[in-house]
Amino acid sequence: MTAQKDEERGPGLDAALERLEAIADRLEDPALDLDEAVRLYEEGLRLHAECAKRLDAADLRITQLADALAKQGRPAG
Amino acid sequence: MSTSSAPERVLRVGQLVTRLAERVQTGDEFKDLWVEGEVVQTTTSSLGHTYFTLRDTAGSLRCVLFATQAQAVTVMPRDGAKLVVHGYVELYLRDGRCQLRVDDVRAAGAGEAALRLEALRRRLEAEGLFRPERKRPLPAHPRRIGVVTSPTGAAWHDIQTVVARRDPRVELVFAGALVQGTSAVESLIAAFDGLARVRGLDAVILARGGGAPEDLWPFNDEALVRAIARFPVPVCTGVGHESDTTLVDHVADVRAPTPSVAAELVIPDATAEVRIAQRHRQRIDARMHAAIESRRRRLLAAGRLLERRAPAARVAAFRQRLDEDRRTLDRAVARLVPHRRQRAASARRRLEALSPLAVLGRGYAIVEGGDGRVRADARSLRAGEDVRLRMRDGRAGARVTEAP
Repeated sequence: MTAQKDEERGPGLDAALERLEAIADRLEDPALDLDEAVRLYEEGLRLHAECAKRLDAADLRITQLADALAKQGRPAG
Repeated sequence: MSTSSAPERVLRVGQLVTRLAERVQTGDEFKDLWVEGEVVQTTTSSLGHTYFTLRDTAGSLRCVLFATQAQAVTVMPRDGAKLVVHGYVELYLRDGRCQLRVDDVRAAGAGEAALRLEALRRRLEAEGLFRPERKRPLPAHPRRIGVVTSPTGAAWHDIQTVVARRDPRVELVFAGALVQGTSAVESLIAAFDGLARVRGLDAVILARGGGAPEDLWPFNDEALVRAIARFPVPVCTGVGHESDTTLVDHVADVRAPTPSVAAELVIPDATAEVRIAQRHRQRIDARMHAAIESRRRRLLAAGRLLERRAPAARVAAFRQRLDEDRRTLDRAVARLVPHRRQRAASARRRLEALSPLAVLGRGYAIVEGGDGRVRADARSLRAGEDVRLRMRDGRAGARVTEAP
């Protein structure tokens, strides 16, 4: 359920990660307007939190699946 | 009533027994015999020789089946069995008794029944029930297997053991049946009918442990053979031991000599398969974790860059510039004021130089009226009016005594 919800929400993890890296690159530009820098920084922080959450969710989902499979694979009796 | 009161000719018992033995054993009369009777008093010696008595209502005869011959026969004498045995009569000198040296053993009545069975086999074969092209292959990856066998026999246990060893994921659907006796056929067919209603069945094993040929007769029944022939999924038989072949073995899709072998044929050994699957699984797991980890590293790096290039630094830089500007401004302002002060002082000096008050220093006085205004004309004065004289070093009151 959670994974499905994640997928419905915005771009994928990889796309978000790429955007975040692009933002980090842009922020390096000393000629960047301050207002624009603040706006990019805000977006970057949001993307960072989003990526971290998704990575944790993916990790958890993998662990859960592996556990479920282990339980299922165990012979009965 | 004795007529032998005076013996004329006396034989030693050994002579007599020997003569009897010669009579019995020479000639063909007591050789190559088929003898029918019921078996009693069966014993087996430590060397593997089997001794038993064959009897019917009229008489009985000791029989011996030596170990070497016993290996060749398909039916072993058991107490209560009705048998036809083949052999020759010998007279055992030591106790003067006849015994049958047995070299072949068959079930009694086998002749007639065997003829009937052969006729049935031919008929079913002519119908095509035993044709190889009718045989269906066993499923490669069975998941649910029906088992028709006795709930009390070893066969069921043997099959479960094989499944546990080869592939515990396979589900066994047990259909218990009587496997010998008069109700066996009906019971076996009912078991098959029951399994035909089970969904998702991949194959059926019909099993029964070894038994005497007469015990396996239900497995030659025409109705059972037909039930197996029309069964919707492949049937593998494991009935009796290797030397016994029944009609169900002919009609079955696969025939195994024993229940265990049947189970081994139907259930492929999954351990190799499972090992391969596990290896794939481990690779997938490793890749998943690597995928997550690489993204974590990227995220960490991006996060650090974000912090380092945060606008806070930019703001700090701006603030510094702002401070510098402010200081510049302050310096400018600070420079402005003394300059002005200087200008003001010099202006004042100039002003002072031009001021009428400077004249006062030279001994003049300015007259101011009561209203504080300067009275420059004598006509503006009235006699008796109080005025003020403004002099170099201050003011003094005066009264006009005379006015024009």
